[in-house]
Amino acid sequence: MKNKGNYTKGLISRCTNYKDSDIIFNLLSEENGVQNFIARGAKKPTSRLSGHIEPINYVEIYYSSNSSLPPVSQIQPINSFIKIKSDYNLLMKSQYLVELSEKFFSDETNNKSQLDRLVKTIEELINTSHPELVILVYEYELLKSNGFGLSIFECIHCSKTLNKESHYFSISGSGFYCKNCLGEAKSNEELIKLSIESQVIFRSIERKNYTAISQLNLDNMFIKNLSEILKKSISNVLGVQLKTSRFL
Amino acid sequence: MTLNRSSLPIEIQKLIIAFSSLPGIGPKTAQRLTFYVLSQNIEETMKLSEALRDVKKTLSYCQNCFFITSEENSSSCNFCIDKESSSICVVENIVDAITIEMSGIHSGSFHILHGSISPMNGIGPENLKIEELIKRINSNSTNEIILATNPTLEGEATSMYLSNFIKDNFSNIKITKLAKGLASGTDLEYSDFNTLSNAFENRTNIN
Repeated sequence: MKNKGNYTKGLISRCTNYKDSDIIFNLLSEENGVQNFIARGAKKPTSRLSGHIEPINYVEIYYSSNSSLPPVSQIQPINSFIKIKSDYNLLMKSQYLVELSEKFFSDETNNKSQLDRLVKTIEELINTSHPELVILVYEYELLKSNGFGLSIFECIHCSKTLNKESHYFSISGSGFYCKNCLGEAKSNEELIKLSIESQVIFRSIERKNYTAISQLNLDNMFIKNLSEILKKSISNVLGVQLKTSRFL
Repeated sequence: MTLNRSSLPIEIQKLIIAFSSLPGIGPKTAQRLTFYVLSQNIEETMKLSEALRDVKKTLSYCQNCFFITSEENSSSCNFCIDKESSSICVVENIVDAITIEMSGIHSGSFHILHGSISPMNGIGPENLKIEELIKRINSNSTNEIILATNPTLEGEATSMYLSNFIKDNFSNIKITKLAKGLASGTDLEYSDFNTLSNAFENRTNIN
């Protein structure tokens, strides 16, 4: 009996040339995490698949078998993010978001909300005047949705509410120490001092109060501090440094 | 007794490993190639071995265009010596330069980057021959840079990086890029949005 065709939606994260004209690509899929596919003959100029298979393309894929490397029979593009691909800086930022998401996409479970968030964030990069802030929000939400949320309202040692002043953030503790508990930090614990302004941005992200963020003084220094904390927290969770982070 | 690969003589195992390090060759093909080499006579095998050794011993990259050269003084090579330096065609790899050269379309010189910017693989501008290209532009009377990178995401990123850099530092140099659009023999129906929009953007007047 002939196999019934399968269908999935997802964002292409990376492509590798295989043999003379085939392409093997990774898809951040809605249903099965990071899936590998093979597009036979996709490098031939007359191929019906050529052009659709490119990283950062949001596509619908039709494939026939359930093997570990299913061949693709049809691809329907949903969004090719052309504006992103015509701006070097935005392209580098999108590649970072894709690599980051690839690490957090879980297999065999529904990743629809995670995929939707990624696609929405890449779309936002085009329209915003603060792409760094968009990345910051994505990193924060991604950590939170995967169970690695940061503790930003209470001290990680005594659990008391933090006062409105500068505090030290512990990378390994994923939260702040209040002034009284700072001495409890281990000698080798990496601590980063964060200003009140930066903490306000964090709190607004946590409360999803994006209108408040847009009214804040988004000094590059504050965003840089927050970005450093989130990137180090991500490296701490993953145990590796993302290759794309140095291109931001 | 079952025979596995580790029970084979060490020389054969070494050759299988060496063959399987080549791109597109898996352990099965490597094993087949090894036994083929073993079945050949000594002269044939020595020819292969000498050819492999000579490629690495006598060839190097030209320090001007970064094409392969067998000349000892590699500050210029046969490929770039007689070419106009006013127009430089920038390509990702040697095969691309050969393809353009064989077509006879471009009479100027080439510059081979030896790769493209690929953040997902950790390859940045500093890993390519970009600094050398800038030095070349500075020292020659270059009028035009033709960006002939592949129309892939990595190729486009490289092209964007180069055009931004040259625009900012050499305002008098013309920067051009190969046209993108529909390929001969394709069906319009199956063209992707990217290709179609490029074709429309770069459409030409025919009246």
